[in-house]
Amino acid sequence: MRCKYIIVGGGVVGLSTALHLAILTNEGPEICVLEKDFVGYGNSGRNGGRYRVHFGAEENLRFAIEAIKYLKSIDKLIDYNPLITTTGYLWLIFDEEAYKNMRKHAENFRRYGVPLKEFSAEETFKRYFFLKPRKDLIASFLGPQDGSFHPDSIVYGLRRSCERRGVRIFERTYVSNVIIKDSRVIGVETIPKGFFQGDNIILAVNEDLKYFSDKLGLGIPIEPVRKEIMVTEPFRYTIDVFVIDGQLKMYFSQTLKGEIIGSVKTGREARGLVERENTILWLRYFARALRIALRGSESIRIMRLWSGFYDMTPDSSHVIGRSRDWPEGLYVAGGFSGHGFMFGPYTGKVLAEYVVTGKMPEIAEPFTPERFKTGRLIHETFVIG
Amino acid sequence: MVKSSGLPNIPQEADYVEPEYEDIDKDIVIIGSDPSAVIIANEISSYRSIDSLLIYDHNPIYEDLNVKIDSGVERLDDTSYIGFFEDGHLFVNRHKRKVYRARINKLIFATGTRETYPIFENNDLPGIVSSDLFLRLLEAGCDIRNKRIVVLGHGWWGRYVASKAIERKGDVTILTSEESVEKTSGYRIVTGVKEVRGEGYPIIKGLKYSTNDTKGFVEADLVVSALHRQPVIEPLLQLKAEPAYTENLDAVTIYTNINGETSAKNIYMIGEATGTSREDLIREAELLTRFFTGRNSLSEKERDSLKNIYDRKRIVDFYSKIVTERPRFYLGGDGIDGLKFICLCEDITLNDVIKTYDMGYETLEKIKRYTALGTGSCQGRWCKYTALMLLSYFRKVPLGSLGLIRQRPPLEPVEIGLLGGEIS
Repeated sequence: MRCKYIIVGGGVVGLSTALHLAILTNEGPEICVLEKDFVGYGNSGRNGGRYRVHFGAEENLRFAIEAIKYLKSIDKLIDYNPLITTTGYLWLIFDEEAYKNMRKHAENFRRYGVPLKEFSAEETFKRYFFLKPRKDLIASFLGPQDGSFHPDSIVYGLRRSCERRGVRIFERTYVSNVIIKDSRVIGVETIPKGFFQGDNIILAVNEDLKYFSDKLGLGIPIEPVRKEIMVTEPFRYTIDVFVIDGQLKMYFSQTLKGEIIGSVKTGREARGLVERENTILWLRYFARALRIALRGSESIRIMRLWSGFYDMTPDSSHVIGRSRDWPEGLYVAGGFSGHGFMFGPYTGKVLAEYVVTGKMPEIAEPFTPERFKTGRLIHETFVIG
Repeated sequence: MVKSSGLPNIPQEADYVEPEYEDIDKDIVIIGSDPSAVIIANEISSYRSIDSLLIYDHNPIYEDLNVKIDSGVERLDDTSYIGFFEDGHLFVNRHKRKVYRARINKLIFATGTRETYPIFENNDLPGIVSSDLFLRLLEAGCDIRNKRIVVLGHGWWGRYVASKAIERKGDVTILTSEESVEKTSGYRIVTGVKEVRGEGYPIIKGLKYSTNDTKGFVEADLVVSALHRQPVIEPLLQLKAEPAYTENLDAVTIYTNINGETSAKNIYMIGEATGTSREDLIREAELLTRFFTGRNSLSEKERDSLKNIYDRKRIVDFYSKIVTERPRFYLGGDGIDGLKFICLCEDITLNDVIKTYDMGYETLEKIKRYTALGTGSCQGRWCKYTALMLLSYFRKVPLGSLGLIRQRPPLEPVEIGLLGGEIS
């Protein structure tokens, strides 16, 4: 098998990159997507389905504003309804330090045209009547620009658009190695389909980026952190905003189907390439947190748990592109640190442009892997969950 | 305001009682409602060196087999198995508000079978119930005097359900696809039924049926399904035991060898859920207890007996099995269209499933993501096997190519208040 572009990973990032390469080059059949399980099996099918423009670092803030604008227009590209709903994010602030910090960021958000709304504790509990009143709430901040989408629709829409342009998608094709000759990539070794010859190889993988970085010596400092998540039985749509509770280190909201979806940080998350299992520890932490935060939650029943990875970089920001000292033709898009899906479609667009033109769009320049060598890290503090 | 969905409101705040948490450590835990669970637990409990526990859930469908739990058996009643987690197995008792985290060396499942939800036009009408629920309703004292009870199916449990209904003065009619049956008494019977259709709104009034040469209508206050029994295999699927197919029950099960070992380490399954015939249940469990206790090895004759029981399960490979005969739970006729619901939580019909498959979503996981099949409160317990078998039947594809939906915890919905106690 031979193709000009080999994309490793059939998730939102890989499919979007494939689609944009197909659009730019008009050579769909020259693009192969290799997915180790089935399309959307990885973190594209395991996330909470939320997007936000509000980030702590300016580089991310600028990127997010563009990425979300793009995400909201994706229905035209993929001819599929991704059920994008502007629900808002609500940050609950319980300590002075966090409050001061949020006020500072709010100033910045205003300058970028995505202002937050601030509510006093009293106003918060009145407006969001589903929250159990707690004495120590200082204030809350609403990001009305943020919201939710349906991940499966976007993944399946991208897949269908790729196929319409002739992109070849291989499922159950596990890439075990990238083959390099004379400091150039020449292809990948797969199980069970053998060798795929290719000129450009794009690693659009999540936790497996650690595997490839270690194996190929790419020097991307990535640590997969396993995150657990749950949905409850469905209820009438009430919790429209996405609640981020700074004290309980929890987030929760309701899906359009009515399930309550949420997660909590235990501080004892498994790290590295571990199995995607669940723990009683997490379940108890989450149940306790939701019991404290949400009225009537005692009798709400949890329906399903699953887990996925936050692929954390030292600056909690993603990696797009390549480093000059890497073999020719090798690119990555990964390390999204928990905000991969919302950035995925736009990342694919940016990366495809870079691969084809050799020029990185200015907005994505801070995110190249060069930064781990130059030390120009991004100071991102807005990681949820 | 127009209420756009039938979903309930988020519940009112209720008094919260702090649950109690306990860690337990056991050599062998036996979980199930099948009489095999009781036989094994009785035997194992007589060995002082084995620390065992029985988690037993009474199911009236096994009542006639008449097994009794010995007084020496350590047991937890009213306790549900919530599933396997990386840090232990989780059990809850809602009445006592107790939560158990267990470390277990060997797990033996004897989970038995449950009635499959029948598939035919308008099968979502209230008033259509499973044989399991019907027997529980009778146990709870439900009055069915002079009520018109229509039983679907004339297998041993169809007749069992009918006899229970007659005892309670119900007016019973059985509909069966069998062409001829032995003389019966106490109930009417319609044989050779090919297709049925629910009639009535908003609750069932009766069933229209057709046989090869006739059409008819039978009035019903309650329709009880006793067509097909599905092994309860969700805990084993969660533990990544390999599935198989039993041609004895015509159902998806878990692969077990003659000793009840599954492909998952230290995980065993025995009893009806493995495909064992009802008449073999007690004998098989008696023979297998020897294996589990590791004492009194089997004689050659006993070994042969166990092998014959195993052969009668007719276990075949899940990956290559194609369902060629019309599944017994399907009374929907030749056409796939109409309101024949497979997934009642999310209102997914047979037509939705087959059309989605035809669009290129060729595995159950993809069909789930496209249609929402199996994403409701039952998490696929009622629909994934019927969807799988009907897809295999209508599209002549092997079960293995369709796969199953990944089973995740909790194995039954579990309350926030039960798990949300303070963490010490």
